[in-house]
Amino acid sequence: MKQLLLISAFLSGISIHAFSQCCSAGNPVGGDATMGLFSKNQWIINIGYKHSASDQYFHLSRKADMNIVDESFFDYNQISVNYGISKRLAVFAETGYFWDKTQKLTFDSSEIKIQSHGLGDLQINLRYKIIKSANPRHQLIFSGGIKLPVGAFNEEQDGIVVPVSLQPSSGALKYNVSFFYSSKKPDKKLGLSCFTLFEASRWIEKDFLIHHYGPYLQLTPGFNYSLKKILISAYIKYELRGKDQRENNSIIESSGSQILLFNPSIRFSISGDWSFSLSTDLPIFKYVYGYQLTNKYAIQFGIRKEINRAYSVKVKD
Amino acid sequence: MKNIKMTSYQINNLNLIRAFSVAFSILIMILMIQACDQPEIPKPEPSDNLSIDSLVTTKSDLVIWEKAYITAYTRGKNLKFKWTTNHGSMLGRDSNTVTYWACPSCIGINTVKCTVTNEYGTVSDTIAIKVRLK
Repeated sequence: MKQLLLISAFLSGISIHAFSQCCSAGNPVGGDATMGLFSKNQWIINIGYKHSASDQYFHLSRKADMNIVDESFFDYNQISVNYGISKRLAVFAETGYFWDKTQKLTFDSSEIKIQSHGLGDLQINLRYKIIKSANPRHQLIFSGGIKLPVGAFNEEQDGIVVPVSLQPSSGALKYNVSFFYSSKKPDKKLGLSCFTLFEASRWIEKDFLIHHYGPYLQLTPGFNYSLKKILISAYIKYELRGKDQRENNSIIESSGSQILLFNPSIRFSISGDWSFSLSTDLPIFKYVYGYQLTNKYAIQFGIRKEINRAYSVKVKD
Repeated sequence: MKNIKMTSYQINNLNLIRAFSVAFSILIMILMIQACDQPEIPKPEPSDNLSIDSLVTTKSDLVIWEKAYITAYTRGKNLKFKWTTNHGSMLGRDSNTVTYWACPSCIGINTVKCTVTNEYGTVSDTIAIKVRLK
């Protein structure tokens, strides 16, 4: 049984986190690395730390010489819980806390920091295994859910409310659907997988702020290679963001992008219950509309604990 | 009579699940309380004790990356300022003047709101700033 769990963990142990373009409002988009990993009465608790940094403006696919924002970064802790209701159905919840969400600026020859911190949004999803087979071991999982804007959206510094892009919460209710497919022969070390996610947002109508985030699509194909308790993964992540809108359905021209990233990760498992992971996102190609600050790199460290309640209970009459 | 036997490992796991469930429930409750609307506070009439007489900007039509200085002319003592805008960034030092700076994503007509509070209540005023590409 433990071997089965270990193979299952390897099969699904990819890091499918997307790092939102630093810094955009709300939690980083994506999921955790547990989408393909659940069984009945099993709890999976995942705690992660993430650092993402940006320092270069782009116009279309070229660097743009704009030096007002010197650097932008965030430090974020995420916690997620996945519970297997049945063999095929699981419920997933995720939230997080931004310890530091910062923009460094040079303004009138002096360096200034705009900072915020606070609770992010709460994501709740249902996951369903559509296909599951033993040999070759492959599975297709559907996930659908919502992201509730329960986090901090009114952070201020020195009496000034920080820009929407620096707020810990996105301020908008979001819907997401995703599919995860993985395949691996039991006697082979190499496995393949693909993750795709679509996220749509509702309008923010708060006081005089009327804003609509563009839709987001992610496609992440890749492979993983297992060496006993170590899993090495390499993925190519394609991110497409639609343009944002404001009042009267006006399109915000400096929004929306197409980004291609390289996402390598390594996961180390201890006795099937605990595992540690390290992954990074490195942009390969960026195409942005208008002028936008783009992501330079993102790095994530995670700890995962699996708790199985499917233990045997002895009953004596 | 039914007797259920569990190993210490299973008991530990159960305790962990219980602890986590309680912590998660508390978190959800805190989030729900935070999400509740605040009661509306009646707005006081402008007086020498508290008022914003005007909001004045050095420039109301900006090209991206341009700056404007916005000043709130107020009456009253022990004033606490709060500045908000729908698009754009502002910098200041808890004073009655802020620097508004036009970013590429704030093209359009933007609203800057100044809210002033002291022991007599809260008043606010708004000003429009237009941001153009060129």
